[in-house]
Amino acid sequence: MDKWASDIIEADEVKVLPILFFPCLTLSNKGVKEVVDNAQAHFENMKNVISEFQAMIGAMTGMDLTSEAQTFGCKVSFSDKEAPHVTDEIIFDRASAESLQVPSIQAGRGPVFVKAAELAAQNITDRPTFGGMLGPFSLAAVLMGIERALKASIKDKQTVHIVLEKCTQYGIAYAKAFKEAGANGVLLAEPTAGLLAPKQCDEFSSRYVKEIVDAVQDEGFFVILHNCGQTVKLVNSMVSTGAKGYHFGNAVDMVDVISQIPEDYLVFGNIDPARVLNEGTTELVKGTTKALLEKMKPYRHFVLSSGCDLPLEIPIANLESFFEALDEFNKGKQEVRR
Amino acid sequence: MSQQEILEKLKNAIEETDSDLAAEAAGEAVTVGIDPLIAVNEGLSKGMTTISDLFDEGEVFIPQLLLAAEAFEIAMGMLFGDMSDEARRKASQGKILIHTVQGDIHDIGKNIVKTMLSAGGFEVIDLGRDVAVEEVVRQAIENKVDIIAGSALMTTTMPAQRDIVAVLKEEGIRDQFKCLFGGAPVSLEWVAKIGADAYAETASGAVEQAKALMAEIRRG
Repeated sequence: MDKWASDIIEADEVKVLPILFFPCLTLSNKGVKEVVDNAQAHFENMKNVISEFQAMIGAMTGMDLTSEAQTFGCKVSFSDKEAPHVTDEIIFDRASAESLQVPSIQAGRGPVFVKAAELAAQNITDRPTFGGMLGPFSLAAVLMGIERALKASIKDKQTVHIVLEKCTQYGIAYAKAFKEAGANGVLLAEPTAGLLAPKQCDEFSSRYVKEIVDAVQDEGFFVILHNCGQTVKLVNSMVSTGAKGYHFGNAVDMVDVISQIPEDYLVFGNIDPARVLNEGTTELVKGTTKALLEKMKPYRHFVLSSGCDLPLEIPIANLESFFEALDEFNKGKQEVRR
Repeated sequence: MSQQEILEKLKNAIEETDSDLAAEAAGEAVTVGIDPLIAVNEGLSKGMTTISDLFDEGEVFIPQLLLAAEAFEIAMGMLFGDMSDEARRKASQGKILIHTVQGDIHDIGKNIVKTMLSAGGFEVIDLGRDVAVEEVVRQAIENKVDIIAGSALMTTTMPAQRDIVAVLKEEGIRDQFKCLFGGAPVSLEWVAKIGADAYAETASGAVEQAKALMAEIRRG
């Protein structure tokens, strides 16, 4: 994977890897409930994504970020129209944090995504496969309730650390399971850390993310750390995790973050999934994407992406426009070189 | 302790995000008979303004803002605990019904906006999160609010904002309420498209928009 990354950095063309899974369900007759519960169906949609958008530089499992919380004991609401979401919290105080059991990696729906990644790694061999998973602070915040977790990050740090240690233990096992299944990396989503102050981000997120990175990342396995919050002041903290890729949301100007990141790390971002890709016209999508590509010209370690996971209802025409914008931009660069 | 010292203590309690200090200062304000409105305007709200400004400047982050809001709400409860509904109404800048829309359980933003609106002198009724459209409209009618404020954090729950406006129109009561919406995926364009009245991107922006909407209501 180090070669994969260096090839991307050295390439004349800009590469693309949006967090794209659910919108392509509209191309098959599958609903969300089926693909988050059935590895074969999940893999088939990963294949659909690649077949529809060949420029994707990796295959990705869907970002169902409820799987880990459900495995820990949270209730989850499922619908065929949207990604699942957690409906309750299970940690209320120190006692419930202490009694929280770290589940087996074989429990819950985690094995669905691991198996889907295995099928992808075996069958989509012309590009790497990434598994999607939730970062430790984001998982802890789901288990505790976000507001309780954020308040406790000041008033009751020890309780947060107790939960974080257990989330990290599970996260390491989950990332290792993806690796053992043949995946080439993970996209580790840590959006809730974007709500923290920089020192808190060090203490409650990056320190634990680093444990996961240290446990799995090597020449053949690549960790992309995603944080779609207001991260301009958190970049140093994020980079301290040692992850080799960083994925940002549309809350930031990409120039402000990429300029803080060494040029041998990949930096992904950040077309607005809601206001541009979902609500926008095809013209807006193309214009916004090209404007970002122009702005990123000085940065060879930039990879075009969405600012976050893309929701099911995004029109395929808008996605086509997003990819067309890149294609036209790259062709324009080729002509200039000639 | 003088009135001025207590007001300063209320302000400091919010700036230091200290709920215990806020409760202590509010108790002292009640004991010496400080007008609750003065305690809010000259004490708590000044502290909240400091925190809000620092948040907008990126110097304070959400956890501190949440703790400041908690301290504010505790003090408010003590200051206004014995006030009659009539007195509250007279003291209010306007009455706002706030909620997180149906299907959406993300309520941090809504909770912060609620506190900022309270700090801005509004009477705020909080329906919580994942509130059905019909319930929002029913509560708006029952409580005779001026503004319906709603937050949606997911693209999938945004349509509930459109449905609120639609139900108000169907019931023939659209002109009785102003609709103020926000949330991460929400935009000015979306709010215009669904026929709502105002959009706010930030908590402090919500207060400004609410004040502008109240000015419109007063102008008739």
